[in-house]
Amino acid sequence: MNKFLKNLLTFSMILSIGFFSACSNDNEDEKDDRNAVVINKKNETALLLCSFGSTYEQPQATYDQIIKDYQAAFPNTDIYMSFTSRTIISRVYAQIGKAYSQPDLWLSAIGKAGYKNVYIQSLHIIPGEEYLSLMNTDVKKNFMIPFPNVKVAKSSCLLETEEDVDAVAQILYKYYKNRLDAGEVVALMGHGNPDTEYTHANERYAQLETALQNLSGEKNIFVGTVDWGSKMFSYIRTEIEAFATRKGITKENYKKITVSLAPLMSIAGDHAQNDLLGGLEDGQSWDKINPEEPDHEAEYSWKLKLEKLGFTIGADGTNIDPKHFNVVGLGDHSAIRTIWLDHMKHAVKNATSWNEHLGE
Amino acid sequence: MRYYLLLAAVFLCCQLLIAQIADTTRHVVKSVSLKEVVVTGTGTEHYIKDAPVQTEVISGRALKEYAGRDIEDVLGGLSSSITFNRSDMGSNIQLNGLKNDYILILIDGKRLNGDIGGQNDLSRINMNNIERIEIVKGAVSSLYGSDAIGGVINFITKKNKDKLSISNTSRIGKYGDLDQSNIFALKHKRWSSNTSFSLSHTDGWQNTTQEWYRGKLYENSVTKTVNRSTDYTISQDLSYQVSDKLTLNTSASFYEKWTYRPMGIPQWRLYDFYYRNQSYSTGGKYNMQNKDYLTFDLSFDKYDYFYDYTSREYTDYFDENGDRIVYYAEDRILQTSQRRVLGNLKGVFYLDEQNTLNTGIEYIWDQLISPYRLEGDKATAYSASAYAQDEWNVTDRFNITAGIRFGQHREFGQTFTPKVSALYKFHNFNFRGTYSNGFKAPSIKELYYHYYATIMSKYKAYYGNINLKAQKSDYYALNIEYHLPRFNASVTAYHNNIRNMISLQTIETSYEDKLQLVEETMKYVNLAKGRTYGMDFTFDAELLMNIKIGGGYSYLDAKGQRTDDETANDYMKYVYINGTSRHNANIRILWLKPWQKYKLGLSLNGRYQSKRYYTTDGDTRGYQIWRVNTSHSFLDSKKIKLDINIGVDNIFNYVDRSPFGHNRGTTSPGRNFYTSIIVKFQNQNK
Repeated sequence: MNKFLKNLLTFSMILSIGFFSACSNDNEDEKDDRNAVVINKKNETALLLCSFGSTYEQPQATYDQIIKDYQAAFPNTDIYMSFTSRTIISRVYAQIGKAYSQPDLWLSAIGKAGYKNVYIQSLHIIPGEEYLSLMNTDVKKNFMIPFPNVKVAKSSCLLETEEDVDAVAQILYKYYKNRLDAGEVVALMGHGNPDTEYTHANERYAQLETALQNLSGEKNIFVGTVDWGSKMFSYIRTEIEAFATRKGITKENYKKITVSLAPLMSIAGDHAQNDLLGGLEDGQSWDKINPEEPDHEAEYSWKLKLEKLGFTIGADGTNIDPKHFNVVGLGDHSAIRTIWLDHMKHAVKNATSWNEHLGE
Repeated sequence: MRYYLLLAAVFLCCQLLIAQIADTTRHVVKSVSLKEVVVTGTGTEHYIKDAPVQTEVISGRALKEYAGRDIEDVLGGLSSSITFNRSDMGSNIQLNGLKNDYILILIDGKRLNGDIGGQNDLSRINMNNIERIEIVKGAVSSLYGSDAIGGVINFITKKNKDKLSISNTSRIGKYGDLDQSNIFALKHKRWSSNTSFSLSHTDGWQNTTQEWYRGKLYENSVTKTVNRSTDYTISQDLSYQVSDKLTLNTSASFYEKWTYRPMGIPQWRLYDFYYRNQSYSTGGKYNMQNKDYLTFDLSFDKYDYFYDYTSREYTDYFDENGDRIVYYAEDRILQTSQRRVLGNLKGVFYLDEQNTLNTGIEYIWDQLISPYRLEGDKATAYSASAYAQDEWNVTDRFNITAGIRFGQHREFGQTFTPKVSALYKFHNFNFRGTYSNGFKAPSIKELYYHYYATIMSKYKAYYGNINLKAQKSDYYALNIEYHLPRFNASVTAYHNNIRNMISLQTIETSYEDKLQLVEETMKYVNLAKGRTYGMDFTFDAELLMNIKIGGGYSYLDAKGQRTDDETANDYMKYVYINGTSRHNANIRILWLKPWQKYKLGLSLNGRYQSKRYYTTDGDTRGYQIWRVNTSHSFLDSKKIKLDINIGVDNIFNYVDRSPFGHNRGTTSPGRNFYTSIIVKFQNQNK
């Protein structure tokens, strides 16, 4: 065989092997340590904060503040943060390398690490599906029972009792009092659950609204939700329009009414930045905004729909631009954080282990 | 402006054409195109001009002079009936408006098993080992069974006839494009062996840094238009001539592919893709008296698809201990494994002067294994079918070919698909008419699937449907072909009517799915109807001064009832089928000049596609792309051939900079250079 050709053939085979091996995964990241959670045991007590989670940047600051407050109030504890949404957890890990894993992963590791006491703080607002699932399944069934000697303090969500509702109403009324006295309107957005099984939890929103209106003296502050059928945007719209009618303000003059919007959620995350205050999205335009669109699968934010109706949206607390972000979640109010902290103090006093509970 | 260039080129060529046809005293250069043998339309061999069923051919010569970077490049560039819309999930091929689900891809007449999101993995086809590509449009289910509703694309591989042949092709281009193919073939006494190794790589590229994601526009996306990828195939074929009558063969191949996706704004993709295929087959051919023969084939294919994690995924799956499953970087997790056992027996009988009977039976067994994506871990489907087709030469000018296939399917019962074609030859004209019935079985995925993915800018949930019926179609076509020694042209008008088309329909997103940020839920349903009308025109001509010209134009009106958005004004109305464009055209001009020891080829290829229609995320702009290739043949001796190609693709640097999340017309990176070298050594059979 032609020697030249033989050499050429060999050369190209080598070339192809060369290219082939060069094309290995050049991902230079460090190898994953394969620990779903990072436990750093310094104390005998673990304190686990539980929230839905967020991939947005601003809520991270709120979470940091909450963690700080707990560190100050409970100095001899190791504090860990958990999220419940798998998509959010995976994305936050990819973005900042922090593992805010699900509560079950944390509790499993906490149990194995040998903590004597575990404090669980729910950062949920109402005692709804997520809160109950956390306390009954993750904490009681899958942790307390397998680790029956660990003392567990279950610290409740924000609006657990009617006293909580009054306390939160006081704080929020104080925050908005000046605006309300100046003739403005406030609309708050909670999450809510579409399931009728959780009516008792959803009703905390209605009770909060009543308490706020009692403090205010009139119906100028409203609580609506993302997902509780009875109290979605159409409810807010109807109430604000009724307010306008009572004041003798007609549609053409709606701009005289300023509406302040805020999330009734622990953080100003996805719902606040999209469902409440979101701008026009891909394929949307001002002309297409229909303030009376069906509540379910709604395309436009509360802000856009209220603006389309003619109302003025208060600038304070509604700017979602990352450079001028000023949206306030419940966790940003230090007085609200105090309520959660008080719940924890109460829970710690009543902490029991599963064995103790059985013994009672 | 570029449009005028196209028109001017076509006009100029027509002038030359007319001059050429009028001149009959020139030395006739062999018209390679008409002497091409085709097999796909009838399952039996015919010269293209005598084929009872109209067949479009992309010849080996056209492939060679196009010097494409991959199969999609070549098919899209050389046939105006075929378009692509490449993405992470596959090439999104369309044949006369119908997508991969309705196209049957064959290699040497055998189904290509395995797909990525419904798309056949065309990277498995070695471009450098292709003899020609045959495209038969319309339903060909009578011969090939399920899927052949829009048509069949059959890749015919090169068959070695030499005692020893070694060939090596290397192509490199911009963006780290590398394509390498090495084939070693030999024949010794009764044995024949063919060994090949091929490798492909690209670094990929990014045409825009804008991306629409979850309704917002991001300016600094890391998403790539074409991802970095590498793949290779090793295969071995062996055949043994037992006797004058009987030949046995066996083959095996192995394939791997890696596709890398950047992790970052805005999608934060957590994994790359890895694919792997193994194929094994054995078969034989038995020659009987006359030219009658029997063939049998038994094969097993396994195509696996994995996620290679680059970051963690905290899933909602739990293992047998009740512990939550977390995937870590560098985990390789199986997504789907598609296994197929295929057996068939075929006989071709030349009954008398006038009749050729092609008959066969086939058994297909499919199994899909898909952890967490199927209700249950795996699912199977199988079918058995039989077909018979007679080609009847009523007179030496008039042929009627009729066939029927009967199938029994586990999931949905029986199918019965007839086809009839007629061919009438008159002077230099061929007139053909075809009616064929087609079907497509609901795939295992469509029946049993359950998964989540980010498609375009939304996070969606997908569900299968066990009550799906088979999709059915009726295809009608009329064709007129005209041929002279140095010119041929073909016009086909067709209508394809499809019922029970399976498509995704939006259903309400469940509360549980909403908590996982799912924005939309889709379920497979039998969409009411779809229909396509169109006209395909192709021509080839050999002009004076060693110039060859060829090309085509396709007009397409493809519509289906819209079901993906119940709130849309056009819900259940006929809308253009997603991704279809009304006008497609391609032209190729080749000038070949041979000297003593050197042959030069200069070719210009142009491709035009008009606006593509989509119900969501925007229509795409029409565009045209031109390329120039120069081929240099040295050493064209009996033993050694050396060819070098140097060319520029997309000479006018057209780039579609639509943001990700919106549809785009082409993924071309703009003007890019390439070069390839082909070396072939052969020791021919005496």
